[in-house]
Amino acid sequence: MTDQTNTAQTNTGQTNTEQLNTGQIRPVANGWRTGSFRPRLWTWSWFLWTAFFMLPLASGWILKLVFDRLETNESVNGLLVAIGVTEVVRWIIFGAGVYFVVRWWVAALSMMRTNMLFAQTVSGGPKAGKLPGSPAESITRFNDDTRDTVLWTDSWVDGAGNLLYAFGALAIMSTINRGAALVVIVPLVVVTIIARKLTPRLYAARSADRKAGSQVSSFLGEVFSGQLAFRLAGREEAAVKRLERYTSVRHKTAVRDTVLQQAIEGIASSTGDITIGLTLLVLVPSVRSGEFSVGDLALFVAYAVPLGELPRYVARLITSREQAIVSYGRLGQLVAPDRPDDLLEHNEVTIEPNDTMRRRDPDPDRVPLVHLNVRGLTARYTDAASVQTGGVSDIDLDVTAGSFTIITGGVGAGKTTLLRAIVGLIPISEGSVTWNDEPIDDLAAWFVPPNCAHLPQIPRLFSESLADNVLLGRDDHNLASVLDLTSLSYDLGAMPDDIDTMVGARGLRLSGGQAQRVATARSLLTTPELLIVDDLSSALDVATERELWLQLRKTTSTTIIAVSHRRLAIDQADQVITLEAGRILQ
Amino acid sequence: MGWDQYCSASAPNDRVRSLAMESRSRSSNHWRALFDLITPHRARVTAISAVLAVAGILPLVGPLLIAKFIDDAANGATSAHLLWLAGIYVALGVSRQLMAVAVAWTAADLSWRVTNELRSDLTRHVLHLDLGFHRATSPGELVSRVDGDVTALSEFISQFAAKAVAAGVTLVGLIAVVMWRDWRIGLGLAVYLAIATATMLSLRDRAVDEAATEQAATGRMLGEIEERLAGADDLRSNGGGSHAVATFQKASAAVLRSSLARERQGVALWIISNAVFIIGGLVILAVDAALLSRGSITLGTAYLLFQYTQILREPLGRLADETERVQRAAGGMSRTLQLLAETSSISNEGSTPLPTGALGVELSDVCFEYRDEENPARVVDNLTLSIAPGNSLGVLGRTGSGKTTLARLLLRLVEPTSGTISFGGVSLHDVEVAELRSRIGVVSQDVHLFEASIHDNLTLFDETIDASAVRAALNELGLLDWVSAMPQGVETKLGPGGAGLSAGESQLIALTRLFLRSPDFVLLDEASSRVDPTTEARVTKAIDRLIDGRTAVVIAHRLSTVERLDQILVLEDGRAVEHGATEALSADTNSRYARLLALGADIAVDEAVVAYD
Repeated sequence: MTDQTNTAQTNTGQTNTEQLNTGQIRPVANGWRTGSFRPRLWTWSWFLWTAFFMLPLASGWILKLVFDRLETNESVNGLLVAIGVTEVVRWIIFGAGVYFVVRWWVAALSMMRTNMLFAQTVSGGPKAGKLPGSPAESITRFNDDTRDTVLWTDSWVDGAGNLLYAFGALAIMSTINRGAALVVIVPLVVVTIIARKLTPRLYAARSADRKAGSQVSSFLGEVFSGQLAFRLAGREEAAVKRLERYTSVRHKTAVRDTVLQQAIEGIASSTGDITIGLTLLVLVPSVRSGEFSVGDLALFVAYAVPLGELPRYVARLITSREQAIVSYGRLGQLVAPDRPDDLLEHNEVTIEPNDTMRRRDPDPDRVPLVHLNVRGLTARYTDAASVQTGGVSDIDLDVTAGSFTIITGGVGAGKTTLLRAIVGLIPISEGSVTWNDEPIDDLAAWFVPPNCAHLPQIPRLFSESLADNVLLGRDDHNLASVLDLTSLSYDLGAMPDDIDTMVGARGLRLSGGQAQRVATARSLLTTPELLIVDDLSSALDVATERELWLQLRKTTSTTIIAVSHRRLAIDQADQVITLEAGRILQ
Repeated sequence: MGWDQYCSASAPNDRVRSLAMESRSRSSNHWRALFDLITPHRARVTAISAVLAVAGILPLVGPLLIAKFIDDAANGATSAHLLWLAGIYVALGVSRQLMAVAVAWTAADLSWRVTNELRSDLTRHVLHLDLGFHRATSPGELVSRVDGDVTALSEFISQFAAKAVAAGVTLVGLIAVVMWRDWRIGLGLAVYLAIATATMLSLRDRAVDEAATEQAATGRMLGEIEERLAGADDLRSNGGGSHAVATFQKASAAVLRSSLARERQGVALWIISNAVFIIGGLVILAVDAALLSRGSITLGTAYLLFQYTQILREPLGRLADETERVQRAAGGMSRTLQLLAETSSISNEGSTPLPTGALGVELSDVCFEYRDEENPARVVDNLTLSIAPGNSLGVLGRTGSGKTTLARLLLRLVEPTSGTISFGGVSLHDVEVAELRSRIGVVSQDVHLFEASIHDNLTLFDETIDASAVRAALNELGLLDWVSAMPQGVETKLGPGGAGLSAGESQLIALTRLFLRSPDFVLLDEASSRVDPTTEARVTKAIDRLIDGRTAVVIAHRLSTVERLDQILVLEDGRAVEHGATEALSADTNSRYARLLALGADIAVDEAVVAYD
């Protein structure tokens, strides 16, 4: 909308194979919620863009006056200045309109993205959502689908401006010549009908073209990855022949697609022409009666061209509504399953330069651990992507404050599953976890710092500074001590920017051991009551792991539950639990 | 085993050759190359030129008609005459739309025709490039160059070039019409339109930087989201969700800043382009007023002149929007020319025909060493042997013993450092590569299967081989029941990379492939992986049938296979440590082969050789 020339919508409405329950989606209510997120920006956008679309009515009228005066040889200088002024006003409105709409646009996108990201990263609570696909797949939702829904709301503004312009133009025209004004409506209606008829065919042609295109590129992929087979068999020409068959299919589909697209897009400009022609026809009688003026003609021609755009805006409104329904459905999958309205919750988005950015939610209050009891815990690992269905059954575990518990067992015994179930990353199907005899319902919300920290087998670092990776937005009064504790202080000297060193995408600039120690520092930052540590052996060698355990035991009183199969850890443990096939080995 | 360093001479056709030369002589002149691609299609180019000429002229007619309407009405023309003019105008509107469709049609048709030829040429060219090239270039990259880059070119022709030509025709025609009415105004208009055109076309380039910055900011923000989602569990269990949200909003703020910067630029450009036409319109209206008051033009002409300052606004605006396409097409064309300039590194000067029928093979004092590696090692050391036409040789040896290199030498994948290899008495150097390729066949261990039907996999997409030939071949090899048992028989589609078939079954496909070509010399590299007994039996039978009456070299991994061959060669460090007739070697209890046999015919050779050492 900010770019006037870019009005042609070539979106096809992506084919969606997933099962989406789009029946309950209310596109208008959702669109309104999106718009009203920044009421001031939105209202201004409406106001300015409506004015922007309506102003040509004024310049068209002045043009009529110009030609009327030219006809009678009067001076037009004043009128020319008026046209100039009108245009300058329109430029200013355009600039202001863009300014408001862009800020609204980015804020609306950020609102939805914030809600989804929050649902995906929040520690438990009713708003937690699950990731429907891979992170990379979800990026298209964060990017394209949010944009499609905002575009839907945005198209209301354009649509309203165009509609008001059309009403205004018809009203003014009918004061000049009722017949001419009526006749203008005819091509608009016809063209709208034709465009509506052609549009589904364009979509069909486009999807056929996409299919033909992917056949070409996938065949080329096959040919180039199997080039040797063709060459050793001397069948290069056969490959080229087959390619030609596929490219000639695409030749046809592509031409069809182009022609249909042109037919639909060209309709706007031809509507203008046909409208002018019809107007001339209707005006002929008034030439006889002497009512006709060149100014009237100039006005009709000036109004006819933007009027021709109207069918295109109507089509765009319809398309973006369909698109938005699908997108709302896809976005709804990223927030909590039963709370689709969370997507459009008017949250606190701080993206304007004057906003102060800060971490919103404080950590929960610390509840000193006396003893932790796990009773009859059963959890299944239900990940669609993994073929293995691991799990743990009927686990009893008692841990007292300050103790060191080691969980050990073979590959696939359920060690990691048990830890993840306790901290709430996997739902438990049976059993209970109590903290000082207090049963915990929402494990994910409870087992967070400062009560508990979890150090996974392969910890994830993020592309921010080393300090940010450790702090995760918390204040840094403990930073130096945890860096010492994990021996990171020694490594810092060799890094370019000390604690502000950027660790690279997913921490790849650090060595495996360094990354593991950064994650360890992260988990120790709040001196949690309970530290849950998965197997460290893949990242740390024996000496480093031993050193880490010794340091931890010596300097903190943190209770530790850790997975390890190394002698050095087992030797230091207060209790050792051995798992086999998801059960505790007695 | 990969058949590396395969080289073959490229056989580019004339079009490719001239394009490639183009790129070597004047690498910057992509447009000349594009022109060369289009010129062979003279008839189509003529047709499209005619369509473009009409499409370019039509926009000029409308204002002329209105001018005439105004003047004739003022001069008291009849209603019939005016209705006639109005009728023409309506017809004009319809024909403009039809012409726009005709332009789209002819331009798209030409562009896909031309670029499809280019795609075929490029594919052919790439298939003839040596393996050094293929190892350095991923299939995905090749697809993007053969299809993506060329598609950019196609879009350029159909979306940009055609419209630009039509707009050019309109521009020239417009100046001509006005010149005809009044040459002074015509001249003034020409100068003005030149400035307007130049301004419009230069505007978009400047918006590119801001757009790139915005894209980068958006990319960073999305990258960050992806990272947070991938590490969601770590964030959850460490209470890091709010932190993720806070940093996301920081990234969003950067997006907002860059969007505003881009839009500021966009607004400025829009205002400039708008101003150009507004000023033009206002100036011409003032001129109109002056000329009208002196009575030197009619009111109709005054209106015409005003309309003519405005009609280029839309086409120029659209062209300016698509200058990005020009850059993409130029990039695509230059990469295409680069690809065409790649040459294969092997000579292909032989022309002696091979004798018909099974080909005897002779190696005399053949040595091979890799020169360009750090430690030049003699991989094949003084190998001399001969295989009579129709006879078979089994090759045994550990990994690194020179088996693979021997195979490569026989296929002329690599050239011997010294010594000669001849087929049917003709030295490999004197045989044309294509001729050699048509007479020899290979089954390698890693059979490449395509995501296509069994039929296409067997014929390698050669449409001259019909279903009955395929059926006959399968029948001959005793595989008809195997294929018939598949869901859709020979039309069963294989998954990506031949998913759905085991290694043994892949070999069956490759054996049938070979059988369909009926080569006179076959080289088999037996699958080393374990194969289920049913498939094993089928492979054995098919191999027996295939090598019957053909000269064959089998790199064997099973002693059961070797037993049925005429001769045996045992390689060690590139030297023949044992070579002789199979029967003689198995009878001699001191031979390595006999001692291998004693370990059990069932055992895989690699294991056996290791055990034997």
